[in-house]
Amino acid sequence: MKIVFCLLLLILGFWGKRFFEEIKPQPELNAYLPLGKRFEQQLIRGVLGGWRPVVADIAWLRVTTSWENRQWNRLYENVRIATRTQPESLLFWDMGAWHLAWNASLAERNNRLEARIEVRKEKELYWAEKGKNLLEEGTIYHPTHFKLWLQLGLLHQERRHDYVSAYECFLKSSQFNGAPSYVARMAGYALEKQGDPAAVLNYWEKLLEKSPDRPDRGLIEKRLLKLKKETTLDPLKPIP
Amino acid sequence: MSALYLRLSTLTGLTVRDLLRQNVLYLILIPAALTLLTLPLFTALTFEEQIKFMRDFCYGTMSIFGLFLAIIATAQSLSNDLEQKTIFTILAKPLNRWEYLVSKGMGIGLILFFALTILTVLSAGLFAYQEKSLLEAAIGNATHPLSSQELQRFSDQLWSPALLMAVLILYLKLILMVGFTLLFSTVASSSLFTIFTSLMIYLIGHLQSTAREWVMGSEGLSVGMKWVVGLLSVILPDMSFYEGAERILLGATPGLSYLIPPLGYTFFNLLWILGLSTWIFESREFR
Amino acid sequence: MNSSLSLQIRNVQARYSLAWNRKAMVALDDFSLDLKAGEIFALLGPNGSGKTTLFKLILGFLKPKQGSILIQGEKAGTRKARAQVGYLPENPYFPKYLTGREILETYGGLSGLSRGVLKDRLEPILELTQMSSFAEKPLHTYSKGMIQRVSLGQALIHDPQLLLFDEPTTGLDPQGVDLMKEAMKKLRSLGKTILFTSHLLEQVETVADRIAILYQGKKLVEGSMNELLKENDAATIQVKGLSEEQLSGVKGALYDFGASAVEVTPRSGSLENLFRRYTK
Repeated sequence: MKIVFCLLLLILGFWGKRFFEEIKPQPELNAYLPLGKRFEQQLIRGVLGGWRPVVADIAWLRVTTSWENRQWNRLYENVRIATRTQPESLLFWDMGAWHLAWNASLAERNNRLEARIEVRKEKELYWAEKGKNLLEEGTIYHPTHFKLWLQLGLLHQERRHDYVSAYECFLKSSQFNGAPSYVARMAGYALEKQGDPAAVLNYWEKLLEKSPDRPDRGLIEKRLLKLKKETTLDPLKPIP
Repeated sequence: MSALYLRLSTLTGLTVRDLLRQNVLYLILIPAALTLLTLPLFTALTFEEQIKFMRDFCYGTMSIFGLFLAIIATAQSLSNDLEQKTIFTILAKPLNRWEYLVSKGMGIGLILFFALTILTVLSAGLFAYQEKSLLEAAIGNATHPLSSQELQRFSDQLWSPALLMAVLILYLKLILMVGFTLLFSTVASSSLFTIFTSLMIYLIGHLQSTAREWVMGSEGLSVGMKWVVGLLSVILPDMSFYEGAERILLGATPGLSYLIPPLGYTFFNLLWILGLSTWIFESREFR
Repeated sequence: MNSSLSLQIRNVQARYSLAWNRKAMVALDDFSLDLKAGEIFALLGPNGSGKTTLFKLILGFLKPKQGSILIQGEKAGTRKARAQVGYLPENPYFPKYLTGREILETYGGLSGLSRGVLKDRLEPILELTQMSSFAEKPLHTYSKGMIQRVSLGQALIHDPQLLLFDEPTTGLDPQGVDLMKEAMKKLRSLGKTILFTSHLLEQVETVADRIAILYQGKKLVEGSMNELLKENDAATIQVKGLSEEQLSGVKGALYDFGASAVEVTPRSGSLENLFRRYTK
């Protein structure tokens, strides 16, 4: 009798467990990552338990103090600890890249203690690249979040003057949920910098066509008119 | 009142009283409270960072100390009864062994609830204190005054009711660990073995789903090996069911239905754990 | 199966398997016993003879490798069987922070007794165990004797038919021993069956109806006290108020009757009686 009772509990328990595993509604955090990276994350999660975000946060506090003390290598190390320990926190990628590509990079450019301009330039680019790499890695963990793509676009545009990559990043960012309307405009501006008026006009036209109720419709129309005036193309003719 | 209810409630009550009298509860609860009290020492740069840190810190403290409490209290509860031979007078009474296990589990469950409630209330107090001091500092900041919208957003994030849901999900996770620890206690002769095995299971539980996917997806593996892995995955817990708490900490504000998967998963796991541990415990001899 | 028996043990064997698959140790071998309602049965034997093992078998803590044990017709180890058994362990342990009354209430609750039933049961038990004066004090203030009385109380709380007392008088002062013996006699008069173990043979003699001697897991002898202790051709004559000279006259007369060995020694009181007289 007791064995039957135990067996019933076992069967019912396993059945229910399996049932819930099958209907598990949301993917695991980082479910889209390659298995190796996922395993690493789950291992950190298991070993550190509930302290995992706290370890990441404490590394992040050290990032802030490193920034205040202008210790860029220490800052970078702590950004890596924070992003590795809790990669699902967008803040670490976003702000970490900002510290590297802007704060560290610009500080090196303006470093008066270094007399050699070329060394300053080299260091400026070094930190800008670090920031870019960090954001690129961040987009592996957050492939569908507009913010990192937007930051990456800005970084390409402002720090590396790479308008092709900037355009691609802004465009991608604008396609994801939650992206503000200006992101799509930024893609357009980045495209303008590439010097292909036909492509630019095509982009703006398509943007209006795709979402005619955009809040920034007026702005785009104005821009379109201005661009058409500036180009030799007939404003009344459709864009080739 | 039925005799079953009387038996269960009496032993549950005895377990609770025992744990309240034992040092293990205070040895875990007091350091946890002291850890929480260090929260005001950490100040982050931005409000967003500060809120994240406060949430993570309080949840992390509850999670770690709660895990220790769940595992150590459960492992000691049964081994104490064996060492002090109380089990002989208890099980000599007309009480089923499954009732003994369920009562132990319920007693520890109540203690965990009590401990998490205390830590939640303490966290709320710290949140209120931090909020007050941070806002005072922000309002007094002439160069970067906060807009009323920003203030509201800050308060909303800090006092999100979803955080309570995260604590509830943590509670379910800890209850599952109580179940596993109780299962190991039924076979173990030392509490150290039980504690170690339970911690291992906790770790493996986090790796389980990824490891299973990897093994099942790999080409060269024999069918037999896949069967073994499949069987293990049936027994081992999948802790990714409780990741919802982490999502809440990262800012998600889900509805109550969010609780159903971890609730159902915990319940059915406890069922089979009870079945297996009763089976083992029934056949266990006490010399 | 004989349902009039409180306890029926048939050819029971218990073995302890030793670690690493070494040979099993036989703790009890081919043991049988029948206990009727209202009798006190003592199990005697040196340490390791299998007395406690037998109790554990009756309570279901151990499972017999062969044979059967029935309590009031129920298989040992089942909940129904345990409802008929009260157990007083050799070294009882209870939570020290509880009072004697709380212990009884707790163990009553574990037996599934409602508050109402418990209320009715508590007073007679407190009276029988003479716990009333200290029942409201926490256990950490108790002496060994007081704890033993609490233990007796918890064994009786669910009104079982069969009582198992493992060394009930070990470590008790003479008053404690008296109380335990009186309680056992009272319980016998109420129709309860008592199976107990003891090292103290004199105490066994004064309370047990029947005894068995166990040695190395085997029952060597079993029977009533009268049967086992009776020496058919020997007798004791007690006299008081005779002088030395008169005593040697009695001795001579006994030889005249054909007695082969006559011993006359002046009687002295026992130390136990002396202690009792002064500590009453």
